[in-house]
Parts: sequence; C-alpha cells; structure tokens
Amino acid sequence: MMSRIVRDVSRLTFPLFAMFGFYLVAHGHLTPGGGFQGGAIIASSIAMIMVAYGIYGLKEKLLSISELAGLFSFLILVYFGSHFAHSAVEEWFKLPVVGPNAGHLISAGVIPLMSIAVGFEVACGISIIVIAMRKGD
Amino acid sequence: MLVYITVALLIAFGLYAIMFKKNLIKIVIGINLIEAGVNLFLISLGYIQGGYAPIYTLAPEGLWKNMVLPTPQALTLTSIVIGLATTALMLSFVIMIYKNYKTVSSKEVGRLLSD
Amino acid sequence: MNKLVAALSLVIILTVLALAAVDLHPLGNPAHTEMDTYFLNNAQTELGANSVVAAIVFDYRGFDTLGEATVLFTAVTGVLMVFWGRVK
Repeated sequence: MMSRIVRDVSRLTFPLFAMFGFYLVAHGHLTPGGGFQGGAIIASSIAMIMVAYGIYGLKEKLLSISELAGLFSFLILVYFGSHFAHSAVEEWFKLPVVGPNAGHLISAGVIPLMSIAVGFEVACGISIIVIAMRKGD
Repeated sequence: MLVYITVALLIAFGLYAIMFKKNLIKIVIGINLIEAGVNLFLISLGYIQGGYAPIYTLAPEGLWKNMVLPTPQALTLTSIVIGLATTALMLSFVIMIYKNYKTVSSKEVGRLLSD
Repeated sequence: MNKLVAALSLVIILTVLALAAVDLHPLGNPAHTEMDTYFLNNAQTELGANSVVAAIVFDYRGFDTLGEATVLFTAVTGVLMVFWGRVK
C-alpha cells in the first residue's frame, strides 16, 4: 500500500493503460502490435495497480486457470485455422483490396481470434510471474 | 556496418559480464545483452534501403512497393518472448538462491555447496 | 591463470566478431528475398491481413507461435514451482 498520490494516479490511469492494451490486441492484424505486445501492456497495468494497492485480494488461481484457457483456445484455433478456416469462416474473410487501404476490423479470418487468445495467455502469465515474485513463498 | 559493429560490441559486453562478474544478477544482465545483440542482428539483416514497415494499413503512396523483409521481424518477436520467459525463470532462481544462501555471488554459492 | 585464459578467449571472440562485422555484406540490400517477396505479395489475397508480420506469426508460421506460447507457459509453471512448490 503506497501513499495517497500514487494510489489515486494509478487508479485514474489504469483504465487508459488497459484500454491501450486491449486496442493493441484487437487490432493486431491491421496495425503494429498483436497478442504479445498488448498482453504485456495489460500485464504491466495490472502490475501498476498491484504496486499501488498491494497484492491482497488478487486471485492467482483464477489467473492461472485463465492462462491455461488461453493456451488451449490457441491450440484449438491453430487446429481450426489449419483445417477449416477457408471454408467454415468464409464470412470472416472480407478480403481487403490489394495495396494500401484503411483496413476493416472484422477481416483476416482466424488471425484476430488467435491474437486475442495469445494476448489472454501472455497477460495472465506475466501477471502470475509478477505476483509470485512479489509474494515470495 | 555501424549496426554490425554495435552487435559485436553488445555480444562482447555480454560475454565479459558472463565471464568476469561474480554477481548472479549481473550475469543475467549479460545474457540479456547478448540477446539484445542477436535481436538487433536479425532485424538489421532484413532491412532494405529506404524500406517501409510491412503493413498495408494507410501505407503512403510510392513507398509501399519497397517494404522491409517481414520474416526476420516475426522471428525476432518469437525470440523476444522466449527471452522474457527465460529471464523470469533465471531471476526467480536468483531470488531462491538468495533466500537459501543469503548471497548472490556465484563464488560464495559454489564454496557453500562444496562443503 | 584462469582469468588470463578467459580474457584471451574474450579478445579472440571480439576480434572474430569485429572481422565478421567488417566483412558482412552492406546494410540495406539482403541477399535472398524470394520467400519474403512471396509473403509480401500474397498475404493480402490469401489471408486478408493488412499486417504481413501478423500473417506470418499467426498463420504461415503458426506452429512456431504455438511452441512459443508453450515455452511461455512452461516458464510460468517453472516460476510457480520455484516459489510455491512443496519440497516433499
């Protein structure tokens, strides 16, 4: 538990950091970024709120279960993407024109879904590492 | 050529930290320096003179025909994440060594382990 | 004596690295670009992804990324084992 200033500033800026991380994860197929970078930014926002408020009340068991869920959804999406992508999710394939374009958020098939799964896993994993290092044994 | 000399210097500094330092945290920093040098080398291999980032969203006219090679960038992304994982594992080992032996010097740990 | 050998090997490694840095082909024109040209030309028509790096990471080399996610998961498991594992 830090001082009042640190707590208030981290509480006010936490939504901005988390929103930026989610933006990077969701727009991984259009702009620079993707699952890993966005997940790291979400984890850093969680670490910031942990520095300010202490670690009491964080549920690390829930975080590890959701990390496992992210990994398995990524596994399923790899299988799905390598077998059925071009036939089953054809409506997700709104192919943009070749060359420079503005981009459309719902496009590119399973790539955004895989990016979201990887972002989930990376955010939960780095949060678990930071919590374990802070808590000790 | 300046980039390659920077890569060589980074790897040399990392090797110096690994070979001559006794502090375990400094050894971890040396390993990270070597990793940074390797990542810089991979990225600089894929550079094209006057190239643009390999992203078609709102790319400027005239520049998008000449794009940087994307495969080294993708593999460097992989390398960065694996480096993060190994660094976390090494630092947690250092923390546990400090808790058990009350020192982070590799010489002291070796002396304590031998007797 | 031990330190002398280490210093000598460090000097030798640095010399070899510097020679390689001088001797490499100049920055800006890579030697083989066929695979990357294929990716740059076909990523939009085959996958619909605007970012070619994302297309390579998640589709062309998707199994690489699967291994990478597994490595990250293994590292997290190792950290948890080091901190919270029972000895007996």
